[in-house]
Amino acid sequence: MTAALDSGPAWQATGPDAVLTALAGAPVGQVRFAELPEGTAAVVKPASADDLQRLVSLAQRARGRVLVGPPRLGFVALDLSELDQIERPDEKTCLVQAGSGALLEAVEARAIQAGLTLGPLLPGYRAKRVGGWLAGPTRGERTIPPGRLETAAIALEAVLWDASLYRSKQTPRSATGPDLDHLLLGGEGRFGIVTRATLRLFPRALVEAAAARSVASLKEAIEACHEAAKAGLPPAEARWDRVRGTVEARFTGMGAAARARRFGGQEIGGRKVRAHLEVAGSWRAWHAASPLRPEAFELVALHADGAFGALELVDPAEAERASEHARAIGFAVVSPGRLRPDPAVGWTGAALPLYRELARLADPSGVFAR
Amino acid sequence: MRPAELESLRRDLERISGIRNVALSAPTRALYGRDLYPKAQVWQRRGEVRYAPDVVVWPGTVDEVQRIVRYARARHLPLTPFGAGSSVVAGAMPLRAGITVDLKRMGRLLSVDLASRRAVVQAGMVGQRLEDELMRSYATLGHFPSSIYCSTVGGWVAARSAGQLSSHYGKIEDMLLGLTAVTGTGDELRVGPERSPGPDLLQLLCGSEGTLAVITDATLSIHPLPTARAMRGFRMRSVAAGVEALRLVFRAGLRPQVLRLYDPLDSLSAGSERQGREERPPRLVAQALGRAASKSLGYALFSPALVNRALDLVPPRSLLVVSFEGDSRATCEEELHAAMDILREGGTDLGEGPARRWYLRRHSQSYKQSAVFAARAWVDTMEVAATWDRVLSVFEAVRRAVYREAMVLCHFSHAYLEGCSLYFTFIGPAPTVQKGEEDYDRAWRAGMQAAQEAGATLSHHHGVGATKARRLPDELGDAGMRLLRLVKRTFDPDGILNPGKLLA
Repeated sequence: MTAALDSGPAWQATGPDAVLTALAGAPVGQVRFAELPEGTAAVVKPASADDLQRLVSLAQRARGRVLVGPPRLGFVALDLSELDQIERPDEKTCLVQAGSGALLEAVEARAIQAGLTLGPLLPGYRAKRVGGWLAGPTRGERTIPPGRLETAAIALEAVLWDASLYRSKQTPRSATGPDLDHLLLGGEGRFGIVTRATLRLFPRALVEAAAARSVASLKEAIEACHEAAKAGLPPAEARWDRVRGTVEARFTGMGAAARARRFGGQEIGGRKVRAHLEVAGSWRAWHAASPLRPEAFELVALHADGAFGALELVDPAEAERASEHARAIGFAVVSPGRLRPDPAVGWTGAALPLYRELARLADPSGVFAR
Repeated sequence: MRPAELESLRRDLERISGIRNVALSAPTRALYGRDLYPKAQVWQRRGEVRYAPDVVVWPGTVDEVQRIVRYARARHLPLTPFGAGSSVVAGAMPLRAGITVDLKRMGRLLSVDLASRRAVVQAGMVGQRLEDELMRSYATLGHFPSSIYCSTVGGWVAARSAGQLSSHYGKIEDMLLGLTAVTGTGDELRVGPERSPGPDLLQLLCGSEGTLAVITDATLSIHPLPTARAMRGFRMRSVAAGVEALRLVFRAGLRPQVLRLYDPLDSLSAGSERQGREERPPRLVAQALGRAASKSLGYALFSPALVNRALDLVPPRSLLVVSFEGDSRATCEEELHAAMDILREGGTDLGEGPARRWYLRRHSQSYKQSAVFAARAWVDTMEVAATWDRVLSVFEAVRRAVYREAMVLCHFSHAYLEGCSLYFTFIGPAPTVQKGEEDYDRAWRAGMQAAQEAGATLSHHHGVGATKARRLPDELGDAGMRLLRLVKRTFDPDGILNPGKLLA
């Protein structure tokens, strides 16, 4: 715990500008939920899972509430950036353990040193932390050969509402009942706060190949990506550029050259761009994406049913309009704006009421902010 | 249950599903009182009926399932969903009697969408029938468990099944895009196939073993039917060399449909072949092991420890089978040659023979259990999984733990970038039923404990059922068990669904 709360004058401040970060090194016991004055926002930086357990325990006793994310009045916001330890990646199992506060860029840097990589990420996630990536709407999913989706987390550690520590087993797959990790993945902290994860890495492009195909329109570019995914040969990432009039596909792993040849076009280099609208959607949604008027797109996690993608818009001010339109045609908008896991798509019948009931039971005293 | 109550139960269920779709006869109840749990087969041979439902009902629609569940809930009757009864962990046995709901009347392929590569299948459809029907559309699910003739889609999803080609197509949870299910309150819920942001409810229901909801249909990803295949067998220098080869093949980015390694004893059982000729192990060992597969199994197994020791006389060579399937012979060959470059480092190329032989016999092993039981022996399998750094320690630990009680065979399959599954087969003597059961229980406990302590998961694809439920807390920990109970309470507040499974 490097920053904690006290009942000093700072408590009287209001608004997120008055975030309480004084008292470096103060013990968790000084966080006085019961004394948190109305209109106060506070930030706490736990330095370990143990710290967080004690904090949640305190919150529970004092009917306090914590949240992961930007400070809000009346809550204790958790800044997990101190939980940023990254173990040495294991070259044999292609796994790395990282704290939820570790930056994905830092994890990637460590992975690269071991000849491994996290794989393609949406641009907006490259600067995010492990916890936010996994608990966020995309659940840390990526494409694995031959075109399946898989979360990057093979095992999780999390603090639950009752301050207990949940740890799942590190195993490639199992059949030991429901996969409870999936309450935390994409759960946005409703069912517990992820403190540590074991992440799957990929061997870093032993063989990498890229191909660019000329296309006349966005429609044709999407068609090319869809066809590759349908054929079970999805590229690791794909990028369309209106100005160049090309769709570029990057393939990694054994057989990458052959897959690139099947995609067609010439071998090329790539470039990264800033994205203004990040979405997840079915191919049906992608085929209807023209009215969003993107200048370029970048797709990752291509699979038979769809892909995650970043749309580069000509005018950043267009983002809000494009975002609304994207929702209307069936995209889940990852960024800008937070996705709520109360889905308009995918769940019908008793699914949503059951999920809400589950969330209520998982946190009966409402420690974790919704 | 008293006769008058049974009669009332029959009448009520007949009103829901029709007079022809409800049964209370003793033979039917006895039949539905067991699955492929090995001890249940021993009990059956003795004419012993330890468990039986009060009634069996065959619903034909989701609405009927809902009404049956609501009926059971109102009367606090246990309800056991039943597919084809292939569980080897007593997952489909009605431990507390009540109503068994057989879903096989809901056994149709509802739709095939080749453009989106999806199929919607009712839960009661038997696996091979599904493949046969998909084949008419030149498609495949790519899911080929050895129980494919006696297991259903609902059972696969409920138990997180894996097929023999899972290294390429994935396990059933990787193929699952959506499902419909009826919860313990009788409510219907649908998840997918469109992917929603946030928690993945599919992954909560998948593997729930009928304890959270009765699955009524599933949307699964399908693939074009492969038209070409390239395959090979290798004799690996040792189990360790073979395991390392599996890892390196995956590390290289290759995803063969078949990639299986057999330990020396299982290699003999699987059989290897070089250009049509059988490879023969040393004669004495071959005789002993030959008997192990014959009617005199009980004699051959008079001392499992001795047989296991005989294994040390077998050259420590392990058979490895690899196969690539696809739409072009050239592509399959290209990938196979890339794999062969890796495999040659640790073994010797045996040509296509062993792989061809494996394809021919791939579904035959599951149906040999009866012969083993008839030969005054017992047999069971234990499938676990571990990351590559732990695979060999799990292998050795389990062999050591079960050394005295049973002959131990193992193959390594269902590989991933991070690790693979270890599939153990235990064969032990049962000079008397009681002795057989005692040894069986001891071997099972010792094997399971050794595997978990060495870092393996409790189950890779058979599920937990009733037999592994007591070990589940070691797998999930206290917090995990609390979460699981909470999920159970949400989906099945009265605890009527498949009691005694998962949560002992």
